[in-house]
Amino acid sequence: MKRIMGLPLILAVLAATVQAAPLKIGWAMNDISTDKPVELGGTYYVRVSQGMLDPLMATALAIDNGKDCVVFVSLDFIHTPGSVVRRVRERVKKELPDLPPEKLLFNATHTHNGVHLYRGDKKLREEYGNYMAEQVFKTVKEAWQSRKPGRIAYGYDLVVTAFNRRIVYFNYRKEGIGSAPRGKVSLHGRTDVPDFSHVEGGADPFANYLFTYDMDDKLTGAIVNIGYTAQASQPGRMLSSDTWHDVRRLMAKRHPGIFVLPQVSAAGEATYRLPYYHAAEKRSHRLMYGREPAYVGEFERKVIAGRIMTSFDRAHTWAQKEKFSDLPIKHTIKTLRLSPYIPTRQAYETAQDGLRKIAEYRVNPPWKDPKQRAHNLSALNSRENVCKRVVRLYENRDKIAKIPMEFHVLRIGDVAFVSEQYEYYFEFGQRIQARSPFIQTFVIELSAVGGGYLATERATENGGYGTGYLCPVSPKGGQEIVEAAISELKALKAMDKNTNLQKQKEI
Amino acid sequence: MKRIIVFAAVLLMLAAVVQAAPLKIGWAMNDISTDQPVRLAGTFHQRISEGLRDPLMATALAIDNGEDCVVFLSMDLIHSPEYVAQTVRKLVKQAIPDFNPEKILFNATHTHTGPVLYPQRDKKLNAITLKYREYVCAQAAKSVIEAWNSRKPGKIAYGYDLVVTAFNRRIVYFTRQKGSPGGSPAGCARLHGKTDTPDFSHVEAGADPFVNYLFTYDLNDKLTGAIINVPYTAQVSIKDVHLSSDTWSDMRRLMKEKHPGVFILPQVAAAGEATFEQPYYKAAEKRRYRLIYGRDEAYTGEFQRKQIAGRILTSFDRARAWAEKEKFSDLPIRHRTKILMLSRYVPSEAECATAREDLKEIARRRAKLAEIKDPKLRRRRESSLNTSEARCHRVLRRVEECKTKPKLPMEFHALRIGDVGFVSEQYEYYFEFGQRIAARSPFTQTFVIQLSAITGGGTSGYLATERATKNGGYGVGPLSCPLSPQGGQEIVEESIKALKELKSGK
Repeated sequence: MKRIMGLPLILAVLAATVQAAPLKIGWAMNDISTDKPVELGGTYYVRVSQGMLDPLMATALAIDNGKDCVVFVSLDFIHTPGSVVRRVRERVKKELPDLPPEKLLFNATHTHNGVHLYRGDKKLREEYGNYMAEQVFKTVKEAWQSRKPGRIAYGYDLVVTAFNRRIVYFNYRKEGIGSAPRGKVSLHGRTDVPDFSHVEGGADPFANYLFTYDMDDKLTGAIVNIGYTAQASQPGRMLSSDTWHDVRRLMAKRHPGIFVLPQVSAAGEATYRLPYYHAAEKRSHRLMYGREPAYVGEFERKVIAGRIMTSFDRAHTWAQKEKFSDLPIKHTIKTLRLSPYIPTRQAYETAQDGLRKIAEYRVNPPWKDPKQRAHNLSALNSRENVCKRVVRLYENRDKIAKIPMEFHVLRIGDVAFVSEQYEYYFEFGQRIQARSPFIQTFVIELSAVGGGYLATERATENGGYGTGYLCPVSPKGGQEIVEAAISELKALKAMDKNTNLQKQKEI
Repeated sequence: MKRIIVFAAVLLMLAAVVQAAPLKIGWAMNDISTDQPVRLAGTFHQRISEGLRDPLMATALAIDNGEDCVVFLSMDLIHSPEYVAQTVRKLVKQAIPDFNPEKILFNATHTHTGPVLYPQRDKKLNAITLKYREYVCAQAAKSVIEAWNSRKPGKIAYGYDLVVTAFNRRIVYFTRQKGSPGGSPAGCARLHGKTDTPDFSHVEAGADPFVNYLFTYDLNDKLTGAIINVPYTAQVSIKDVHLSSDTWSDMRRLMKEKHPGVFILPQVAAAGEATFEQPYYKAAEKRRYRLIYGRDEAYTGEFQRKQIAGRILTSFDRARAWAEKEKFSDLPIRHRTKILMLSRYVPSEAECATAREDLKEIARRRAKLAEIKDPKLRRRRESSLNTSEARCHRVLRRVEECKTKPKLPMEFHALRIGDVGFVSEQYEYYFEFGQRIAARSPFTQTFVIQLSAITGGGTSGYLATERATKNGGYGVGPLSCPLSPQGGQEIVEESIKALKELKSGK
């Protein structure tokens, strides 16, 4: 009996090992832009596209070692749209039988000048959704089918790309209807006032890079994983991939022909905006460019892209000294069930009050300037939706189910990847990276399906935009992702030990 | 009557106007190192220097427009001791009788491999220290005198850049952490705490990525030097037992290669909780150094120092590329110096009770010292206990002192050179205070300078914010902070007031 029990144990150990095997790597990138007057995603108020500033792209990187694989898919989009993900996976299932569709690991760059798939003209949205799904599938297919033996290298660098946009004051701030829960924080708040206390937390300066090469050691592309959401052109009304367009442009000059796959690490409260030194920044732009910006955020984008490029090269210089052609890959996909955010009584009452005010504003708009009036009225729908959601959640607070989330954990050699779908606050990412058993851990936010903020406990206490009822998932749910990530990462890492055990047995 | 009032008002306004005038600029740098065995500053335990890793410097920059002036004096020391400041001023006054020594604006780079310059218990060490201290003063004064005497017409440019030089070293946990006797109060924060544990919540605050630069040129537009004002305390080699200016030595070396003959004057911006240490990614960092250098470190912190210096140099060149498009040969200068009286940290009854408990624990640990057989380790522990004990006694003494002396004096400088403002203070000032000043200042750029000249027989020490104080841990509370968070905010308010006055021409 003992012998019989021992056999499944050995088998289980063998099954839980990860073996290094030759890597095959494929890249592709396709345009997902449109010149149609679609609505742009990322603001409460309505913005209709007036054309294309620069193209939106879908970029895919396939890495496969014959035993397991991943296809990273990065979209210049506000978040990863569920409808597109479903359609692309269905096509993969039908047309690429050797690629398990769940191995597609999506992420969005969070550009605020991408298409809004859930608002605006229905026909245009449907047309665009079909086009986008087609282009994304094409990108996945091209990357998958172009796989060739190759190598990877990895490294990191420290670079300033973003700031924390949550400004904390000594005193409580005015609440915003459906936008800013009660607290001491104001989003992008003024800092040149005596009430300014501090910036809530830092920003993440770690940039993670995974470089790919062909077998002649020629650089073919890189994942650039940074705590920065590309939204410098947000007030603009032109379609744009924002800062990533500038990075691609710089990259094309410096490393012609290579691909860049942008990933946003945990950066729920990131901003390109300086919290102060606005006059100094303006002066720096005047001296650098000697002209007015050609479009909203032009100079900020260029300056940030320049710093990313410097950082990229700095990391590449040393990381490329250690390339790997044979590595273990293990890619697990689960559905996590996360604790939802349940509104407080105070939030409920504020939401009800907000709904009353919204109704009044619709009848008697208090804004005299016609432009301002149109702008604010266009935001009322979004505000109303938020308030209604708060009321609905509070009234059904005993019946709220846990929220499912597609969750990827992946290892490629000594590098790990963890994905989640929300605008995940910096600190959660730090907790994962600090506790991960891997040398580097790429946290990927805005992965498959949906979005919304996921704030920490301390941010929730401080209130303001991006916390409380604006979060589908509670801070506890955010920590559940951390714990699930660490547990899974440790399990993947433990396979090394099992591999060693097995090797020892073979010897 | 009305006319008389208007006339008087106009006269007052004219008198108050700050006029642009041609700038004269002078630079000098002198060695303040020693090869004698002095005590190294910055740790609870005693470290005696075993030689020189790289030289300590005193760098001076004189900027004068005939109407007003400043001489910045940056020293590779842990802080700017009062004795040194007073003696340097006296020596400079003797050498240049018509120079107002108050115009010297001191700062220290906070190297933790610089000397302790106050009297020592050990007679031999004391004799060496006091003799060496006179040398430091003489050399620093020499830098000021040479800088002042070498003033020539020149130009300045200014700019800033964003670069990662430091992290915040205060790690916050979900649960309350133990304090250490005479070291750190209990709380949720821990200095350089472990982050690879389930209890890790977050890094308390960010670090400041703003680096301010003031570049100087001769009249042929040749770069002659620069102030580098960075929220970074050069203390990477803290575990070393050799005298060293730490990262600034690497910076000077890189500068010499890239811009030969150019002076740099390092200033530390508000950076009380700064560290060179990454809060996590330690294995990744180790791997990075293995791949970059392919060998072991030649001395403690060698690789970190080089990396940080490299990033500062990249940032320096990036800022200079645009800043030097706008050079100024004529600018208004206005330099005000005053003594601020700031609210002390008054220990609470609970903090006093902890100090008394800590003293008991220190006594218990002292009684066990004899069990340590290794004499070097025993001395190290003993010196550490001495420091902790002294800190506890200071807390208990302060309660009585504060009854009659609730405020501490601090030399305070506020300066404008054109559209650039400078303010100085003597403590290890937490990031947020500096942010409050930079954000509210009416100047395009504001250089906050910490670890300026110590005043009134006090020490430097930390100056923590309210939120840091609540979190506890090393660097907050009465053990570490002579001033309260309120005192820190008083500096902010005085700075803003002074800067606004300077801006409005008062």
